[in-house]
Amino acid sequence: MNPRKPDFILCIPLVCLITLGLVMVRSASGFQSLALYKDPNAIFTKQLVALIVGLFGLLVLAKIPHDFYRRPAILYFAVIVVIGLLIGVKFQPVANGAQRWYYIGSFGFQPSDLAKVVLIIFTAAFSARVKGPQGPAFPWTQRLVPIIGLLTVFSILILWQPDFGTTVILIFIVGVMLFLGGLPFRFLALGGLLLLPLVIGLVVTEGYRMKRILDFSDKKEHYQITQSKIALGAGGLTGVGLGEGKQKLHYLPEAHTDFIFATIGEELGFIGSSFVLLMYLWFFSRGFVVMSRVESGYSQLLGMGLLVLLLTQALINISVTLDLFPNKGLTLPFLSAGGTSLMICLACCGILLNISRYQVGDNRMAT
Amino acid sequence: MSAYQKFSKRWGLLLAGFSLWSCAVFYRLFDIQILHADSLRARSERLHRSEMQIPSKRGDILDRNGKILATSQVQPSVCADPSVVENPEETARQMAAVLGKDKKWIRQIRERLKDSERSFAYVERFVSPRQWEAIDALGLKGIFCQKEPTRHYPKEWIGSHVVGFVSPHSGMAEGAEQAFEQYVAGTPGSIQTLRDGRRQRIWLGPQVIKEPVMGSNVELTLDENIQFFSETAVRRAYGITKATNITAIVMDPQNGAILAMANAPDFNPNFFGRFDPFKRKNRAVVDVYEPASAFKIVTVASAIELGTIRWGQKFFCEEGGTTVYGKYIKDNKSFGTLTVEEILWHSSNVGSIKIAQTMSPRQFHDSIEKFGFGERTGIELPAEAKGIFRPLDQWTLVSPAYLSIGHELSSTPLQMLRAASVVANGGFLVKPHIGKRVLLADGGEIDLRPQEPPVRVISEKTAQGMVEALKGVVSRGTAKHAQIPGVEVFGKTGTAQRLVGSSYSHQKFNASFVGFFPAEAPRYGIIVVVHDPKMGKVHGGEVAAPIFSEIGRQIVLYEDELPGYQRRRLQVSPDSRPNWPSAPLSVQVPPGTMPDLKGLGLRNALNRCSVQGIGLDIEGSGIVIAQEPEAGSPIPAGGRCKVRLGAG
Repeated sequence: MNPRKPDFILCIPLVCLITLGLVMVRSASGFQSLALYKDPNAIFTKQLVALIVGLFGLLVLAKIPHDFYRRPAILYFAVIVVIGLLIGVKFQPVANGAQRWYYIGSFGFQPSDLAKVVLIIFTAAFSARVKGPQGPAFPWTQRLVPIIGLLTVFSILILWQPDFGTTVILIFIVGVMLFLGGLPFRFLALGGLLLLPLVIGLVVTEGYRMKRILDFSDKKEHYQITQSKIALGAGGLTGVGLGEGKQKLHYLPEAHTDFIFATIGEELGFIGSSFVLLMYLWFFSRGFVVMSRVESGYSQLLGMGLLVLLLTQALINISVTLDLFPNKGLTLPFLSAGGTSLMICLACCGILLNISRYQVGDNRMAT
Repeated sequence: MSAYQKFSKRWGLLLAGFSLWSCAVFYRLFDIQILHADSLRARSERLHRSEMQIPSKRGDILDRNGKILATSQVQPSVCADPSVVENPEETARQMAAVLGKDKKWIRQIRERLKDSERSFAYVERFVSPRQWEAIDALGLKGIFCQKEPTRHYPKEWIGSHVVGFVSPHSGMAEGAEQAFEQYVAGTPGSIQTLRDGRRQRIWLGPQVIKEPVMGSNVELTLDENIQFFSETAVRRAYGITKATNITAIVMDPQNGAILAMANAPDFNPNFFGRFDPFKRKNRAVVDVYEPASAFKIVTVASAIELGTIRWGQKFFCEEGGTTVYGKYIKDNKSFGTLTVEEILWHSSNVGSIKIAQTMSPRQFHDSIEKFGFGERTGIELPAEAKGIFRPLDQWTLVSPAYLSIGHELSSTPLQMLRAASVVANGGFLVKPHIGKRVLLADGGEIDLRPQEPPVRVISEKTAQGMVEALKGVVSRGTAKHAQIPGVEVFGKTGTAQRLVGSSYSHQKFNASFVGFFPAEAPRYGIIVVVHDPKMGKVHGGEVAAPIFSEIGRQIVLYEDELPGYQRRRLQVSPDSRPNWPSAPLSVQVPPGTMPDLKGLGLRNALNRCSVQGIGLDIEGSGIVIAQEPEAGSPIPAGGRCKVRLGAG
């Protein structure tokens, strides 16, 4: 089958989001940047460089057939690299009580970001594993073992950093992919039962997480979240105007990264914040439609995995900003300042665009 | 198709899950941004808004002729924004080089600049405009200038104790600066600024909420020239007598307006912090002393007023001393029999005691009280002392005797001057004051002078008799040194043994003189108190009276129309009062005509005249304020020129 052109409509919300992201990063990071680097444009410049590199990567990945990643040599190599990076990060300096980052010059890099993508490819590849071309599928038990095995390894390494939020996302996405991949109900039920005590156990044993849950459940005011709500509320319907936000003046922690949504809400109002939310939903639903036209199996699962990853991250981040979720320290895809995070998100889009080239014309599914 | 069915159901479930989540997020967004927008916006305002004061410009303090004694000006302060400063060490070093600071200062400033969390720090407050220009030229990043008002006293030492000073930061104030605070202070305005999460101010186009209201100018009763004469005389005497301190007050006895109040040692209010409190204290109102013989004015006036004695009545003044209830009180010499007038002239203690004994203690007590002792005069200046005057029930049998010669009671120099003024103004107790009027910005004014009429203490006849008697003190009595050529003076000397611990010292004295002129219609009342003079002479007539005379002579020359002045005087036209700093120092004069000497110091005037062979007849001291012949007129035969010198 000859690949088509990539899906153009999928690019519209993407372009909207990264453009807005660039503007908002400049607005939100100015003060922080001035305080840290004595230059209000320092963080913005880095973001711009990352965006250019990321867009270049996106174009390259859109060309590379996504079947390339399921090749055992590539896949195993990627898995080993990620494990190596996850172990190596424990030798990095502690920042904010955790070791999550590599620093290359002034650029930070989180190996767990890469782990998410590799795990999605791995899950897609193994849950669609067949015996030979057009052969029957492997039994589910045989397909599950490597997936659960890798998930366990990644989860343990990431929990070691520690990074609870990312671990939860990993488990959630693998679960969603297996669910979509047609995993029989008995396995799903078993998995659910197995994970429930694990989640509860982790939440109870880890004090600071417990506190976050409590902060969320009771109405006690949490400084960061309160500042975020004040920012959103001050924005009102139309916002205080681009660049006019006040909460970024060291009130909102991470006004340009984790809490950029609050800055958008303050400066552009309800109109701006709901525009962002709609762009994510448009991007996801367009991707959903595209994936429904793709041949079921590896491509479809890979595409859905990446879409679910991006949407989940976006929704969690926004929910945290809105005080609907405990703070997980997740970035907002395409919008938050952070070079490697943006590049990996763009890489995911590159793979998605490549998958969109393999739509089957009339194999439309009811959605 | 069964597989499709299964897939589609699961995909649908996923979609439903995400839809639900999105709806929750949308609802929450709407809730926060639309439904709760107002309360959250108000919270945001409270967080970010910060008001900052704009200092108001303090009004000027002027003398009675409108000359500026205290004024406000803006001066640059070097400030820094540490979050922008690039190299704290180098920045501090370069600024230190300009400001002439040491290594300790550099270290201190470096630390201040390193704190990049902050966005404001002072580097050095109140530098000279030139220093700021030099720092500005360095082009240091994050260093800027803030102009702040400071207080300036252009006359430096002149009137320092009366004008006082104000510290713009601690709010500490003294003198008129404190007394008239409500008028000169004005009301500060405010600007709205932003405050960041670290409680730092951020200057993003601050908005003025309230404009500051400038303070009003206050005119004092003080006369800068008379103040200058008094200070010059007092300071000179301070050097000669080696006294602990000397106070002189010049007051208009008719209405209590203080024309000058000088103390030595004194201070320069521009640098008040460099002087110790002793020098900063206005001892004319806060220190008390025993008035001694000067108090005999009160004793005699009381007895005359009560009718227990009459003028010319003779008293036997013993042989140099008397014993009162076991206490021996000495006289200067054996006087024998003296009239009341002579008792005043020669200041006989025994005579005074005998006069006091003609009154009952209650009469004497009430009379002293009426003369204003034991109560504050009510002058506007802060920390006024009220002195000690015991109530009648605490009197001992010897109290009337001691009181009659001015002991067993203490008063401030101002209280004594006020009491003596009663005889000079026809019998009234005036209220001393330094405030004349407030000049409001809108052109209006507030009268600060006391409005209530002065209280009569003695009859006019008694007062006139006292004046006649006290003239003799100066013309033939103890105070011959107090004479002022051209006018008639009356007054009374006082010499008190200083209290050292609880007993009177025989080495330490307070010498004082209180006097008035011209005697026809007294316009000037001057009291001079010399504390502990160490030059051998201790008597008020030898120590204090010459200072009185020196001040008086200057005033007589300065005053244009003094009743009873008997010498031909040079006319000073109002516009010829020179402004000495701007007077040209060398002008070409056509040969054969008089040079313009106005505004020159004596040395310069002599120099200028000697070039043209002119001899000078000099009156007064200070700078030339009048000359005859006038500038430009031909040099008279004999080449003599009369000049009058004054404070300008």
